Amino acid sequence: MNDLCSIDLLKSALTGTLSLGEEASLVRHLDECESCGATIESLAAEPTFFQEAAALLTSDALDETVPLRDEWSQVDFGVEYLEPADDANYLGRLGGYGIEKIIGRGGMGVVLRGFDLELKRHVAIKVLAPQLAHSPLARQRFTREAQAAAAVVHPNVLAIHQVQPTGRLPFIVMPLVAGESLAERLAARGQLELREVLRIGMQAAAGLAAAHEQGIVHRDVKPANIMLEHGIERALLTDFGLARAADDVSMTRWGVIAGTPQYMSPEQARGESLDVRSDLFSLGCVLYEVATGVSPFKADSTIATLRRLVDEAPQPVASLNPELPTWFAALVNRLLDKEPDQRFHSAREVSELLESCLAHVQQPSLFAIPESLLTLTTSIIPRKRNRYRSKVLLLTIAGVALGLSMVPLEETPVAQNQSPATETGEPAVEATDPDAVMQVWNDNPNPRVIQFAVLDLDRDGRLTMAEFLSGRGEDGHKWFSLRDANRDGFISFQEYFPAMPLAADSSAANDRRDHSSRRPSFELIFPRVPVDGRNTESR
Amino acid sequence: MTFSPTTRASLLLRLRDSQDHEAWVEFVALYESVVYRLLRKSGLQDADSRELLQEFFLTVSRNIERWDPDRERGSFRGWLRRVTRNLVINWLRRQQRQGIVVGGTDMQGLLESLPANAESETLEFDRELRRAMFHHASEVVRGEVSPKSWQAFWETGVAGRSSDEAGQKLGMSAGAVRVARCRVVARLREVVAEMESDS
Repeated sequence: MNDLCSIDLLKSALTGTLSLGEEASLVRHLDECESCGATIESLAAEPTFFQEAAALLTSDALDETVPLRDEWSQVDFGVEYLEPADDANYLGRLGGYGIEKIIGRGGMGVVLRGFDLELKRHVAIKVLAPQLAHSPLARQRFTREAQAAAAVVHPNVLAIHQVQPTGRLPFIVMPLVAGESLAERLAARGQLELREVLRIGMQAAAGLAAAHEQGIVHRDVKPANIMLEHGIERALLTDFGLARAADDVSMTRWGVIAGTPQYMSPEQARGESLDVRSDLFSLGCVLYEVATGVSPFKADSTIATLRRLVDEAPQPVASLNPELPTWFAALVNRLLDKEPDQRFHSAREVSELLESCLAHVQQPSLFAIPESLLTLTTSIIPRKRNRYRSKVLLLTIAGVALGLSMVPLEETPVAQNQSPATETGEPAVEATDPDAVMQVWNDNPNPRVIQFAVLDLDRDGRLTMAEFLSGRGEDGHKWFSLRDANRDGFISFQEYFPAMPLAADSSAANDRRDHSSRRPSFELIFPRVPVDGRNTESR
Repeated sequence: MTFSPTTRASLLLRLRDSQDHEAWVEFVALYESVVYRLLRKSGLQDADSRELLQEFFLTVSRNIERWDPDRERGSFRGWLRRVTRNLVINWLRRQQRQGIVVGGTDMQGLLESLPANAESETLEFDRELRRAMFHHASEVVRGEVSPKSWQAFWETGVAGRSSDEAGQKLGMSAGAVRVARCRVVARLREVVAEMESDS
């Protein structure tokens, strides 16, 4: 210990209250002085604490298998929205239902197993998640979509007994299906036999057709939303339109991406308006997966999946399962066409085709494959896009996939003609290409909400995409981050800083509006500093 | 998941207030890994452990209001330990009654292998709880310090590198690594102590 180093100084170093100069000289001193090093360690914690930290923070095999928190919400077990039940067999009561247990949960909320005390029957009750129920918009969508879906009466659509829009948490009551979801069956058994694939596809398409004919788009056709009843061969579609409720509700944290974009249509991934043909694409994804055991656009990250959906043709089904006939490949490929116009005309048509195919598979000598399928191409030719010609980004916010994870900058008007980042002295995002332009697409009715952007750098014909996220943290600070989808990691940093430099050029955006159906609300211009793609050090 | 650094009523008291949403978030965040790991260590499979974990939280939520610390003369922790133990025993009995053989598991063997004496069981539970606290504290502290400080701590304190090695890797001097490490440890200690006093 010398005069440079007092106990007080070392204590201040631990609490981070030294001035920069003091800290720098202390650090230089500690580079050399072993005894002060030992002293500061002893001031930090007793030696056993250091040992304990090392031992307890080291991961073991069990840690790998505990992604528990994704599985159900931590607050589900509060079940505080339940009223007390007289009967000890129930966890509590919700309306006229005795609640027996929690049977599942999804992005929307919790599914409870209940007993209708009046009609004496078991039911499944879907309760909107508390964090969504806070949003009037989500509540409204949840109940409105459920009410619309309740009007669809079809053997392949799970009925809705009751919609309860009021109360602390709105909920929907449905029959309790004795069975499993298609997702569960896939997980347990892998790909299914062709006969079963066709049957499930036919029934799902028939259920979709019934809804489509009433003007209802499902928006979230995926294996988890197709229930298979035990004992009888019947598939039931569930959760019509409910995905909408979660669409533009922001959560308080980002990083947890809710929902899966794996079964989205390209137009859905781009955030464009959808119609029933979007469901046909999703149905194509489901058929592809049940027949091959592989989801057609699965990728390591959400953004990579979205990108594959928009740009890439999936691997031919026959290469994954050689037993699949060419007509099946043709049918799936047509469903998976990137252009909605090129898909089948209706779910009804698909259902009828699948029915004919099923008849053929069961009795080949009596029933032929429909002519129309034999003339279709069996491989998907990716349509050319202008992806290298323009720097226009391809994706916009995909509500379920990304919107959930963001905080809108509601109180931050995007000022026009603000200086670029570096001139304000703020940390800047540096792009690898001096001409990089970032555009922000904004489907949100609030023009001040920045949701999502994709950076498109074209150099050597290579398309690079990045995900841009911006929002306000709970502590009031705005944050900003940029992730490179190709490198699967952050090329920039996630950082809190007090002002968000934006250069908005609304007139340019307006011009573009005339030429393009995709409308950027404003642009972010990066400072033109060529760098090697590393972080801007800002700490 | 954050544990707010402000002084609060104990988690137990807050859990008994059914309106206290945050208390449940904290409680589940802390105990899910504790109970899950104990179940797995008792020889249960992953799927069964997850199911029992749900049962654990439901049991606690149903009974917490009735639980009287004075009458039971036990600690909250002790009660949670008993809930866990009873769940395992009941589950094993249920399986046995139904004649279910899960993946070749020897039920009788499992029953017999449960820690026979209360002392070792308590130690095991406390160790897992302490472990969960460290993990949560590390999430908290990690969010407070710069990534470099965190790495300096991790490389030296957990991965076992010397300050020099870590410094080279991170582009910091050995002294800077040492300061950063100590700062993180001091803060970890504070957060863990606060969680200990709370639960």
